[in-house]
Amino acid sequence: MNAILRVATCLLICFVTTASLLAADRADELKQEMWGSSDKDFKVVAVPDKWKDRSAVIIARLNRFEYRKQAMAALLNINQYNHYRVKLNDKNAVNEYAEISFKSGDKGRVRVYVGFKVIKPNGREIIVDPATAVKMERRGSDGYAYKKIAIPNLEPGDILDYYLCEEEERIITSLIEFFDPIIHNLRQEYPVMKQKLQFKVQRRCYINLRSINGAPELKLVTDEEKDEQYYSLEDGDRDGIADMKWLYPNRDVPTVKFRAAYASNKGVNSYDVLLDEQGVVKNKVTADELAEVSNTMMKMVLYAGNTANKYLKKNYNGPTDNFSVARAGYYYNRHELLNQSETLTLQNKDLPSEREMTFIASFSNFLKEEDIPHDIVVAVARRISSIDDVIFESELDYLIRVRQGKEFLYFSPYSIYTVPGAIPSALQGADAYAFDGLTKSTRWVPQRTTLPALTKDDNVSATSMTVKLSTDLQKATLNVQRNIRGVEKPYHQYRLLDVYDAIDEDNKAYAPYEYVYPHKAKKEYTALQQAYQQNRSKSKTDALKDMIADDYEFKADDPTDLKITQTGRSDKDPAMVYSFTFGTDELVKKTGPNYLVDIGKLIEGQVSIRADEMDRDQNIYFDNARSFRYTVTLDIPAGYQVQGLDKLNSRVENAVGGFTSTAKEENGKLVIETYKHYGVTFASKSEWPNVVAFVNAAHTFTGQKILLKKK
Amino acid sequence: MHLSIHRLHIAGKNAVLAVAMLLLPVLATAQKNTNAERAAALRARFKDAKLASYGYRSEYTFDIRNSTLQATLKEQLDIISLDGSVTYNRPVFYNDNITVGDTEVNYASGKSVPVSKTCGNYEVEDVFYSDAKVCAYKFFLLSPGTEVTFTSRETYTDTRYLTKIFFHDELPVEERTITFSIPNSATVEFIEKNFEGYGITRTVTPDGSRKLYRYTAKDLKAMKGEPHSLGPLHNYPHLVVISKDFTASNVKTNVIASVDDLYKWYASLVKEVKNDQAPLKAEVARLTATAKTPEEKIKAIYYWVQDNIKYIAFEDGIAGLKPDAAQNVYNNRYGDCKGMANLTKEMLKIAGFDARITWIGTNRIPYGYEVPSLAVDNHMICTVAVGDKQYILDATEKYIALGMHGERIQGKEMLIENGDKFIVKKVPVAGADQNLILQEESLVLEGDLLRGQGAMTIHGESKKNILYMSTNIRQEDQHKLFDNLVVPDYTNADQVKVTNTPPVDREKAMEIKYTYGLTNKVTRFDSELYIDVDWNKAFKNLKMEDERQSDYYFNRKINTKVTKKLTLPKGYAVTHLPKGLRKNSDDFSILVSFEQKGSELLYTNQVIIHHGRIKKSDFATWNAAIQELNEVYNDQVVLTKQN
Repeated sequence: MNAILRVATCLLICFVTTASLLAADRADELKQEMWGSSDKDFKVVAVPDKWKDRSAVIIARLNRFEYRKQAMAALLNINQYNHYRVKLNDKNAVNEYAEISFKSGDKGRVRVYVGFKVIKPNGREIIVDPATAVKMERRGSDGYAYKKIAIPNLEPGDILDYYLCEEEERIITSLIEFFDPIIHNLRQEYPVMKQKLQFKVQRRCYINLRSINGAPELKLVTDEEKDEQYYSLEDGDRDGIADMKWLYPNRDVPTVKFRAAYASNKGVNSYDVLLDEQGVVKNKVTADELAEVSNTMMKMVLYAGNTANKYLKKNYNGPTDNFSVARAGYYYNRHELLNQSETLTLQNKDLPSEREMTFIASFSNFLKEEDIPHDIVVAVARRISSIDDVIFESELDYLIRVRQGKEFLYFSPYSIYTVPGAIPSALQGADAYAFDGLTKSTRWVPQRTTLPALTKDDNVSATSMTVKLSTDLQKATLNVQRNIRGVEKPYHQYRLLDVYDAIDEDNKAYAPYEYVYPHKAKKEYTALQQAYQQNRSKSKTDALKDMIADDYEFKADDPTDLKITQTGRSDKDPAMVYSFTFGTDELVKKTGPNYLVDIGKLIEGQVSIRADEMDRDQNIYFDNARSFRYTVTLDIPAGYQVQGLDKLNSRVENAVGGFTSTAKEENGKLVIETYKHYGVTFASKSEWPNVVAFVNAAHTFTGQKILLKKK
Repeated sequence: MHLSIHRLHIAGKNAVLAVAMLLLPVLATAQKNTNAERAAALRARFKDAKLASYGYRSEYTFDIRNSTLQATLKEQLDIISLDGSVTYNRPVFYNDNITVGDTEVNYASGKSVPVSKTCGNYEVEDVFYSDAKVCAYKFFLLSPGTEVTFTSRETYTDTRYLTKIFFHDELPVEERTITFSIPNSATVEFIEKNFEGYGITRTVTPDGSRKLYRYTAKDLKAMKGEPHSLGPLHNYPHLVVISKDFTASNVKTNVIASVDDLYKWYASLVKEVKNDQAPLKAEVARLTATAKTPEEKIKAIYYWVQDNIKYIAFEDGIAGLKPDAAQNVYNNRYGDCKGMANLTKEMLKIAGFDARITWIGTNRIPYGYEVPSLAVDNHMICTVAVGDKQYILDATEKYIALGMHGERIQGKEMLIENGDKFIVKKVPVAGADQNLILQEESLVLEGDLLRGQGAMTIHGESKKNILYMSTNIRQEDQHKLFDNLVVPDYTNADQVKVTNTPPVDREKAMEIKYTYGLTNKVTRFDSELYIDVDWNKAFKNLKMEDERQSDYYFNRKINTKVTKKLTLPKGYAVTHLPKGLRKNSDDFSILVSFEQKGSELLYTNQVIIHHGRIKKSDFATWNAAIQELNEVYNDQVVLTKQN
């Protein structure tokens, strides 16, 4: 071995040995910090009587996050320390905690330190050797690896006290680096006696943090021993929360949201992205700051051009009012998506939708070019936050609205099905700010506004069904016509329409569409087109079959005669209208000489509220106001009369919603009409009985039967 | 609940480039790589398949290396896409005894197909950790009719681990060949299973100092798992490979030539286990302190292991066959079947019993010990003899009573250790009566409300499962489990109440007493009441699909009996009773009856599935019976008000 090689080998071995020793020291330090601290909350062994019948109780938990840039190095330290002490009251909890998975810590510059100990009711502590964890490997293009450990000797009545810590060193690759946001609900699966959230942000790192929905504020704590400061929240006595229908936890449960970022001087000076002073909490974002961040995000769009101005100039002869021209531009841009949509369809991939900021920038440019007054509108999805509680930019969504006098017309990012005026369901009714699109963005003056919310009369799913029975009355043939407007429409469009429906329709408004084949692949894509067309009808029928299986609680034959009479792709004819036929032999049941008909099942399966859901301690959030109408017409077979109509007449109406059903005989037909509606998007928990009343009334109706009695 | 939402990428991304990349997945599929005629022919043959194989060749070459009989496997799978834009992920499995060699995916032109490869642990249900690994090769075929050949190579470093080979694949296969090149100095046999009806041909030809075995099958549909199936070994054709022996340097070495060899090897692994009884002694003494009879002692130990050792399986390398030491399992309070069997044995030995390790295959494996292969067993239990009586103890069966045996091992051969020898014996088979579920209810009408009280008595497998569920569900949810057991799917307008706390007693039938008031079982039409007396409607619509390949297995033998006694309301007469049903076959019997006795209506519903399964050959008989049963269930009792 020559000298150089010896030195190199020595260096390598010494480095590895030193690194291992350092890791071992750090592991000991963290063990001491987690298990040897004087924090009395992590010494508790008893749980309150009120929770002794719960499966598990979190005695204490600590989640600590630290971010800092290293001095003189382009490296960031991102650390998190998670410590849990859990009382396991039953076997279910033992099963939940008997196997714990965690990051393997051998990829990149991440080190993971873990510790697990079981505390027996008699106080005996059993420390689990972390080396017994096994590594689940994943290598390759979509690889990830993790470790898992089996906790030995775990029995009901034990306490499991464990920590999972990660210390990461990340190379700085951009001017500004945002770390993953954390939205932490203070009520979680199990009751919590004490919980602590701590955030330490140092040296060129920034912190956005806000307590919402009644969560305690975080306090700045000075640790004189370590000569450091951090933000801390101490909380406790929170009951567990069950999975619940119609709950937006981030709007209703006490929550802390947090996001740290690193920014270089150049980054801070160049981009307005809701950062405050280094190391100082930013817990409020002003309207002006929203304008600034919106401006920054628009500026980052690399390509914001569009061909609509040119097209309109040459081809548009329609009305010249703001709305009409904006509509024409929007539709043309949507039309331009067809080629990409066809390629993706042939590749068996999802249809494209325009990236939000690209849409905002390019459509605003179109409108500017046409000198059409418009606003850039920034809002937050209702389930995420109120606009007043926003603290980071990833919470934001954008729309454009065109102004015409005092009226507005909203535009959202294109897909081949979107129409002018449609506002994404999640943003309807949300508070927002608008910035004048014709004003230079650096001079934007935010205007507070509320986005329109479609009402139950806008979001209407109407189904009209005729039912004919076979001569032996055992088989029913159902002809269904659906007329879908509003928020439910995209679901139907994406299931039953495809790019070729859009092409056929656009061919009536634009020059005939011609597919531009991907480069040097015309033969392949021609073959794909043929294959797609061969399967197209079957694919649509299969999609419809799946929809029927989801909708109806009886076995259905394969549907036939799917006919789409209106695609809903135009704001002039906004409903999607289609019809189909299917049969079932599970609707009518022979009972002696008569026949029972499960007539209630024809209004599709209805959600119900179970006995264990009757008590509710959280408010109610519906995605939308909406309504569902059904008209069912049954040809009464000759020689039979109908009995049982009285139970089909019902009415529950209240401030939250309603369900009404009527039934009558007309010209040898039984006509049943039902109307269910959710009238609001929010109801306080005190309104829960009203929700239960109309929701369960609709569900009860699905169990109703009529009798076809031989005359 | 931490919620991550998307990050703003300040560095930005080249959206135009991204779109361009999106549009150009793989354009290397020149027309010469497609075969429209073959695609059309296979599309007609294998309906709804997006891919098919028109040739699948597995070549096993056995060689003696390092004093071991080894085998290399080269597989060539000729794949054709029957649809456009198909993504396929081809797995290649390996473990400590199988190494993976080079893998290639090439177009018909010979040009390689872009492949994304991911390798890692293969996670098997119920196994915490094993040496099973998989490499997944993902590739995209754009044009319909594209032909590619997937070639993989593996080496079995010891052919005792090469046990079963299926002819079917997850893709439909037009022609499948499996060849074995065996040196004359080795003895390897092939047991052919489930060949009937598949027209599989076999040739044996000399090849120098070797023999070449060639099996060929044609037109094989895609292999698929079916719910309620005993698994593919029961119906798919396959070969069991028996590597018996080999001779090298004039020395003959047995691999596994007979069940003696299998036992000797198993026993040698058990011998290596370093059991230490010391940590167990106090526990055994505590458990058996008050036991008066040998049977009570065995119960005390057996039940303690069932209740206290959680099933967590490590099957890493030889740990897949060798039990963990008893003291480890005891201290960890977890283990797999082998660990539990070994712990049970050691604890029983401390208590003075002659307990033995016992190997067994569950009912997923349709072989007995006439097949000398690792493929014959997949489970380990403990047996103990007391005088003439033998107890079979499977501590993985939680809440099973001594003397009862899990459905999955009944009738199966056990390989019981016996020093240098072994004993082969069968686990007794219990009848369907052992799994009786009896439900007896009395019903009265209060207006349109059907009020009832009842008792449900559960024996056997179901009792064992319910005890496990009820003790492992969250304690705050336990009452919901029992309420839903006695009246499934009740609404919040109904009242259902279990009135006793069913004791956790594995030795007695579980009895659940309850009352209910149900709102939607009676429909009033003028002067008539239509009553749905049986809302469980057991087995309704359970028709077997024509395309099902395997027998339908219910996981247990079934004997359910429901009797209901409805007191007729005053002033009403029965004007219609459903006709009832009586069906009997070798597989099952169904009895449903409605009978009026004075002022009471008696309803009986008893279904017995004698062996817990419906054979595929009996599907037509079963479906006809279910059709009639559906008609009975659709019918209702009608009471008419008398003037």
